[in-house]
Amino acid sequence: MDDSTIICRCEEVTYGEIKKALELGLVSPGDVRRYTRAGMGACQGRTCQRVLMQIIKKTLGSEDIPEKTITPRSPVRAVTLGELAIVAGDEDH
Amino acid sequence: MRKIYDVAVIGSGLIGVTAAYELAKSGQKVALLDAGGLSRGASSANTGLLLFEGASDNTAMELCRDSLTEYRNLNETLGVDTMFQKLNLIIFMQEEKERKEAKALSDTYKSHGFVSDIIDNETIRELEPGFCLEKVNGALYLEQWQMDPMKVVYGYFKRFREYGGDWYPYTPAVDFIYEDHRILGVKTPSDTIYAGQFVVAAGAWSRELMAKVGFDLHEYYINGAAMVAERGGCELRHGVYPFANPRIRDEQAAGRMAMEVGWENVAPIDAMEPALIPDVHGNLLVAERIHIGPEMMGAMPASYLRDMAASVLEYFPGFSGSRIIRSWITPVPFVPGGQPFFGFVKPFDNLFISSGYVSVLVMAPVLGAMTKRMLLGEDPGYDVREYDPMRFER
Repeated sequence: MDDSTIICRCEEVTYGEIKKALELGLVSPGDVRRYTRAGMGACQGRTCQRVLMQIIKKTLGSEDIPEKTITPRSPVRAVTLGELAIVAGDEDH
Repeated sequence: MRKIYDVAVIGSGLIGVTAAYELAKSGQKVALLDAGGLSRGASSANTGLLLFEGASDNTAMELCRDSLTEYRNLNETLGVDTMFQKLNLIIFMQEEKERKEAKALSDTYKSHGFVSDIIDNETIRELEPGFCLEKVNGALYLEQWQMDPMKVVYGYFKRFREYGGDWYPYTPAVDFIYEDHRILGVKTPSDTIYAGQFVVAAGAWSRELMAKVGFDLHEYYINGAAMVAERGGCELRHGVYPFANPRIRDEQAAGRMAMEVGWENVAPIDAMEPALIPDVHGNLLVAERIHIGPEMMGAMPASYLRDMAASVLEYFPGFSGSRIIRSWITPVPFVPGGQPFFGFVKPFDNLFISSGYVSVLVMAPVLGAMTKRMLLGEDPGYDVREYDPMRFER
């Protein structure tokens, strides 16, 4: 793995960009995700999350990570607007 | 260990990072603290619009205009791609009575050199063919810009670190140490950070922080929820939202109530602001479901997703197959009257606050420089008398 290795395929984020973010002082997986965009694409980190956590742990040491996981955000998997709105209609009755 | 700085900046949102960057660049020894990670509030959870529509006074308009000039060169200044680009807005009207006010706003923008007009439904249909115009009665068309707000925060933060600034993530300000007219230090769970001056830039958390020095800051917050649609799923070339903004109306009502009965006793208000904003990465941001009240919500109720989906489909039924991949909910600060706090807080002569802007992204670069000038005893360069944090005390 070198600096040009792509860690997040959806957003094309490299190992070098993640390393730089950690050097600057980002310490949590959520911060690394938001400011490098690793895990912000279509799959929402399902592919790259484990590798990302390994990089963070290896670089900072497990004890220094204030949050062990990325805060979960709804929906758990992609849902269409139509499906979401129908559920709303059901609840009215 | 005793840590001594020229300035301690509390809060790492847009206001905190721009101020910290400017101060560090001018040679000050700066500590930047945040109770969480980098920019955990509204600064990193927004649509990235450089929204000068919220500028309600002349100073705000000047700040927007001058920051826009800064933004054009920001990639070079910060060494990151902030993805600055144009995004024009269709701010649609529903009732005829809105037209007069919209026309006046359009004229104001034009007088400041921006492209704006009042357009009819036929023109809206040409601009956005998918827009269902049943409940629409023309629109205010407005030239605007946008960028990735997280890249802006990150760019300023990066430069701040490169200028030698110290960063304290996950370091809440537990208490202040102070005498009659001076703040001496800020206590954290593991340390005390001493500084010559202190900047409170904690957004929705500023009120809680100021209470620690006995100051009742009239800055409150809404909980704003939004969701993100998958890239390529919704084709929209403009930002679209209603001219009659229930959020501004409702938060001002909540603000008046808070001044009378206290924020903790305010009866919650729920509102929808059906805004659709394509972001710089090609995703569509669907904002926003609003809950105004003293409860700071950590997680979003599932019903909010349904509310937002239904409100979008009312105006864009063709988007029903578009997939939502993510959502957020975050506290967004506001001040009764709609003007921010920018200035020193009496009786202290070294406690500065900058907080409570309607839409801060559009002003952030100039605000950072203004804060630096104020702390160095210089003229801020703009008329900020109306933003005096002591104005409710008189």
